Amino acid sequence: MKNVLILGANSAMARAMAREIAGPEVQLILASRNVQELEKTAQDLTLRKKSPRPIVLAFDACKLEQHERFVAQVLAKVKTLDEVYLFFGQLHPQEQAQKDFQLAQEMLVANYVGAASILERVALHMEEKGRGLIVGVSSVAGDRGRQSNYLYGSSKAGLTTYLQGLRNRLAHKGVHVLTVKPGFVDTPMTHHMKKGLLFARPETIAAGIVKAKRRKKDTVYLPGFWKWIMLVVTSIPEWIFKKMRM
Amino acid sequence: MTTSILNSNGRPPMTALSGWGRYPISRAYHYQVQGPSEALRLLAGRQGMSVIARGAGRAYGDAAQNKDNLCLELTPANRFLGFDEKRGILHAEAGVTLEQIIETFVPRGWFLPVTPGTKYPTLGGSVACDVHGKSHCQLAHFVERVHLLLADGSVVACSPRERPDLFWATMGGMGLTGLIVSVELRLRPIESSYVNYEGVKARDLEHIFRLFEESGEQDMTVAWIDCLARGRNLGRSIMMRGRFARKKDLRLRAQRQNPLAVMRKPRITIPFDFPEITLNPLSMGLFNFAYYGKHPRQVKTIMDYDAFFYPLDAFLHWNRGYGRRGMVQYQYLIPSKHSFEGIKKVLEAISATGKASFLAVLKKFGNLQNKGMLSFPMPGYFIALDFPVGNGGILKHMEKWDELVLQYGGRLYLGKDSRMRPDTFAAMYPRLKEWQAIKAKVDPENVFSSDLARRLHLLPGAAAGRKRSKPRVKLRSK
Ligand SMILES: NC(=O)c1ccc[n+]([C@@H]2O[C@H](COP(=O)([O-])OP(=O)(O)OC[C@H]3O[C@@H](n4cnc5c(N)ncnc54)[C@H](OP(=O)(O)O)[C@@H]3O)[C@@H](O)[C@H]2O)c1
Repeated sequence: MKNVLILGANSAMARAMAREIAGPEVQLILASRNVQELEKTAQDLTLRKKSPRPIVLAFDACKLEQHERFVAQVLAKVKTLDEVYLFFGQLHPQEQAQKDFQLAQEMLVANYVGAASILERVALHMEEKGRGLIVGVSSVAGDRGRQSNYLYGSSKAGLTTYLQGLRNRLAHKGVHVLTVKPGFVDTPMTHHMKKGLLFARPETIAAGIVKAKRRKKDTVYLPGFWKWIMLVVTSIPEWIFKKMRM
Repeated sequence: MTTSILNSNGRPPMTALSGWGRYPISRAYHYQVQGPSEALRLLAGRQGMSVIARGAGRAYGDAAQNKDNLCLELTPANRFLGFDEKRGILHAEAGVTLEQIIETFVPRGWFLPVTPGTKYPTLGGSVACDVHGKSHCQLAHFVERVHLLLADGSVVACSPRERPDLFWATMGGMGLTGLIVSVELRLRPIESSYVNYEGVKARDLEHIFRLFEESGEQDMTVAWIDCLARGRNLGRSIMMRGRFARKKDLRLRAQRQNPLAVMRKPRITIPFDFPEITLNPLSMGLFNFAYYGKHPRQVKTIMDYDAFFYPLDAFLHWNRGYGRRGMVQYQYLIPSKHSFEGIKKVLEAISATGKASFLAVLKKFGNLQNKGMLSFPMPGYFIALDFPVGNGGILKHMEKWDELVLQYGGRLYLGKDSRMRPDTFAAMYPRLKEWQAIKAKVDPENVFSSDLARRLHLLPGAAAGRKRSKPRVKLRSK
């Protein structure tokens, strides 16, 4: 039996991911703020995937003081954690966050501080066991600060760099860290945006993560073409970039 | 968190949408909705706009379109919420597709009680259209309960016993009574996923009607009619008849080893728009097989469920076979009393235009008592034909056919309609007023609306304000 923890399991991408992972040999632990929704997902996975009934736990990335207890709670139910997926995240449109720093702070805390806080606890456990996999979902938005979403972007940049360092640390301990950078995905998070050809479906991202995991990738852009888009975006000299409207 | 509907720079994200017929097309604010809580959020933030739910976009016409308003696509809300193994009752979110139900429950010995000719629609959409199929029956008969998100934001359960009015307004109610959140559906037990199939050739319309009458209520039946046959040969067809096979019927080793196999077949994608000639890949294939090949007078075989129920699903995007401007399906039902004559007369009128599709599909409804106010089924025969929209000339012809259908007390199916006139509709569905009374009660502000609802003046009060032009149908028939 493999024990897999999904943090932010109500996210559209996480739900697609859970269907990829679930099966008779996998004990899932679904964690997020809205427990009622998690219960429905748990029921679905039991019926659809014949998986053992997933464990459902309340988890709030912003309640840092509870994280240590949360991990202890998980480890009381399953002895080891084999894989941990971090999907939670928040996005408030830039203009709103600029006017109301409360919103900016919420993003920074949830996406970066909260992520680091929970993964540090997970890392201690995996380090001790000498094996495991951590998949962190960051974003292409973290690759370069842009006027239209740098508050969200910087929280993801923080996460990306955090995951990079964590990978370096845990590589010596038999634990693998995979950084996922999705492009635009059609989920509730992007409801306010105009949908175009660049938008992917959550299922596509989940399938991409499975593949990247199998290939032991360190960082993956999903869908893959974002690698090239971001290569262009990041190679524009700053003195030109700062004059552009992006 | 509040969901802002207008995007940051005030330019709203609109998407062009159409049904399976790809005609007509309109633009709406189109959202992928994960579940009821999100639907509620969007409903609350709708800023005076109206709302319609959308499933897999498999209704042919404009049922799931809402020009300049909100269109909530529920395909992401697709979780199974419970299954009662003893009674076979599945509780599932509205966005679950029939295919997902089959893939999960066939291996456990259950099948859909009623299925349309494709497995791609969602459960919610199927209930909203009250779909039917080869089994002489309507889906509503097997719906134990639906959970509806109403205009006031509350979620209520309704069934034939609790809030029966709302229930029967919702079966076939085209999503206009509220947003269908989840459905409790009674599945049917099967011993195998194979069908004892019998194909019988019929000379003409009389012959095929006789074959239908001979078949039992338990038989699932459909006839493919060759529309190129006219005059004496009108109605030349093949009757496809089947019953789910018992375990003991299976002969092949592979079938016996896995009697409840799920079929996952390669599919052929129609990659681009065909020129505008009437054709769909199945019609071509079947046709050649049947008439230019050597279809014996009668064949008996064991067939898998996918080949029997969903032959067209093997061709993804077969709707592109009708050209860029899309297609319209004309599906008319003639009640038992005049079925033969009515079906024949309309079919003759259709073939006289020289625009008939190669193939038409003929089916029968058994002795059902349909309590759904806007739901299509009633005892009788119904037939469906596809037409490319082309330059729109065909639509004029259809208005004449409508008149004939009305003369025989018949009706058209909303799930396939994209062009009917409101007065025609009102004449075909005499319980419209009753339905409107319920609609006015649960949704007085017409929060739920759609292109179809506006086109057919379904919403209470909406028709009154509009200038009523004289029915063009009448003028033309002189
Ligand atoms: N959508 C995109 O275009 C896109 C692009 C690149 C990267 N990403 C990233 O991909 C991940 C998944 O995104 P998505 O689009 O699937 O998002 P989503 O459907 O909007 O879901 C986000 C989820 O995060 C959870 N969450 C938010 N704040 C939380 C907190 N403080 N504590 C615990 N859970 C919290 C919420 O859970 P509850 O429902 O339980 O409150 C919510 O279900 C996110 O990290 C996002 O930043 C998204």
